[in-house]
Amino acid sequence: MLRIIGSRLLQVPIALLGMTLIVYIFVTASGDPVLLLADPGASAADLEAMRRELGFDRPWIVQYLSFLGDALMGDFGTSFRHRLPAMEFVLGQLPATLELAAASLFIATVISIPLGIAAARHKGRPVDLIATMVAVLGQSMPVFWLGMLLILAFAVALPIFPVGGRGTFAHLVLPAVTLGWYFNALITRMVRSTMLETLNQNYVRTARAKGVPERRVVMRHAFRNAQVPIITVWGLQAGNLLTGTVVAETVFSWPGLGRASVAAVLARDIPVVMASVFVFTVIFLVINLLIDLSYYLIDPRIRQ
Amino acid sequence: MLALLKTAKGAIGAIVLTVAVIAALFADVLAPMDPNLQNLLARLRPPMWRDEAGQLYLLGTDALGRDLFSRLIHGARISIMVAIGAVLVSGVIGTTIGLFAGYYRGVASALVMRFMDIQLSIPMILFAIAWIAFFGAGLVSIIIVIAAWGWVQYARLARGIVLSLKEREFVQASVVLGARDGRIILGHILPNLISPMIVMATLQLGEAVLLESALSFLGMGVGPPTATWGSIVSDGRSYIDTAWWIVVFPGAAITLLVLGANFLGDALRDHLDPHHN
Repeated sequence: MLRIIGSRLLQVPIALLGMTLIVYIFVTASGDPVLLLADPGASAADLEAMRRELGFDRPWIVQYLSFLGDALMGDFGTSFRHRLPAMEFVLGQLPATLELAAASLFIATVISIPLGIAAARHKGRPVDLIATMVAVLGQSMPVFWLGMLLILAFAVALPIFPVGGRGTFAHLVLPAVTLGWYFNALITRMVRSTMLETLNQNYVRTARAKGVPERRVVMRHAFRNAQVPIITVWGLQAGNLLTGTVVAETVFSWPGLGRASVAAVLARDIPVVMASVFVFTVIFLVINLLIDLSYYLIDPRIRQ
Repeated sequence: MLALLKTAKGAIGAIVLTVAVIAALFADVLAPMDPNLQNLLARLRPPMWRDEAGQLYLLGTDALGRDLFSRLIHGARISIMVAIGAVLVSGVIGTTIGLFAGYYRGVASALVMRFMDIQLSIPMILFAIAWIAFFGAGLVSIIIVIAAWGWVQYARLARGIVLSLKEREFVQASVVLGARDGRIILGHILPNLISPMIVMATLQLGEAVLLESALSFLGMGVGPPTATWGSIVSDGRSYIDTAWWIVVFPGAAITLLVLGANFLGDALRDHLDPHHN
């Protein structure tokens, strides 16, 4: 176990280095940021002075290394567009994204686990059919389209919720349902199939035979063993969560980091791009580490 | 193959995919109008609207008066080309890498595994956006981005299968008889790898369609005036309170295509791998 955690921790600097390098090359090579920053009327000499001031006159490898050196000290530079320290700007956007992600994962978990268990226990019955339909539709509908349909239904036709923005609880409902729906589909399918497998195991039959109440059989004997694959799905979906957040934030004009980082890439706001890549990569690695740790807690076999 | 079409899932999946491919191939003939022909006098008309000449706009028009039905048919072209292109590229690359990583256990193999772990732990959407900002949003560029996103899945699956195949008697027997690596790989490993990879590829078709449409929606797909399903939805966003059809129909087309690909993938898996259930 310690070896797994060790190798995960070793991955952190490698992933950060690789990711920042690749993105740095792409973003700097894709266009002259000075041209985007300067006034349209700026003279060639002005541009040259600006280039020198921002350090863009140096070879890119020197630029990257100097970025890296500063980043290690916590300085990601100043956002070209927002005139703020880049890391401060990124961390300012982060709570909105975390709020949305947490709310959608909550919705997904609260619906999917009971639904998946019920579907597995009553295989072939109406509840199973509903669960299968939820899973199939959830995986086939584009997140942005579901968001628009919800806006059409619950913000335009029946004006219950606001069309977009962030603030009150009502603002959170539609984006969270939109994003949660997709994860709900994945987790429901996973819970159903792993529960079907564990409910057929001999130890479950033994538990039933010795008269353990059905509720306890399902929750203690079967569901406990279904937890490992479910957690694995969560871990694998960490990446999709970000893609989903970018889309959901765009649909609902949610002022989060997903939307801000896309805007930063398109505007070549390099300090903000690098700071958000850094933050996202760290979050992913932490999630993966937590998942490894939770295996350790859930499955005693791994502890040995 | 016929048995596949007898299951409901297989039949629905095959029909949906066939219709989409036909729409993509023959869009020029099938579309009633030029998808980019603007008619500012006929903006935002509802479905089933007819102009004075009696021309039917089956699904209505968009904000520039373009025929939505014709744009949907042409949009199928991008979705199908990107999906098939990305799945072919990522499937071939991923399967090859996975095969070698599973067959030859060594430093290179371990490095590849580490690399895959790391790729799975980085936010690919940012990579995709940076790539598109760098190389532009052409068709090839988008295929490469989606392929770079998906190859790890094939590589992991292929590696796992190769690892277990290597322990099987018929492979061990070949090794004992002195067969060369090339012969074992081509004669014993690869044939057993093909069908799970085809299942995987079919299931990934839907994934590729979803990614392409999400990129298009974010304004990073094949640029205007080319019609893509994601960009039509994005265009319709501003008119959502007056013209629901612009948003509803292209999204329904994406959902249907992804559903069809997933159904066909499921049916193929049941057909090729009876142990799965």
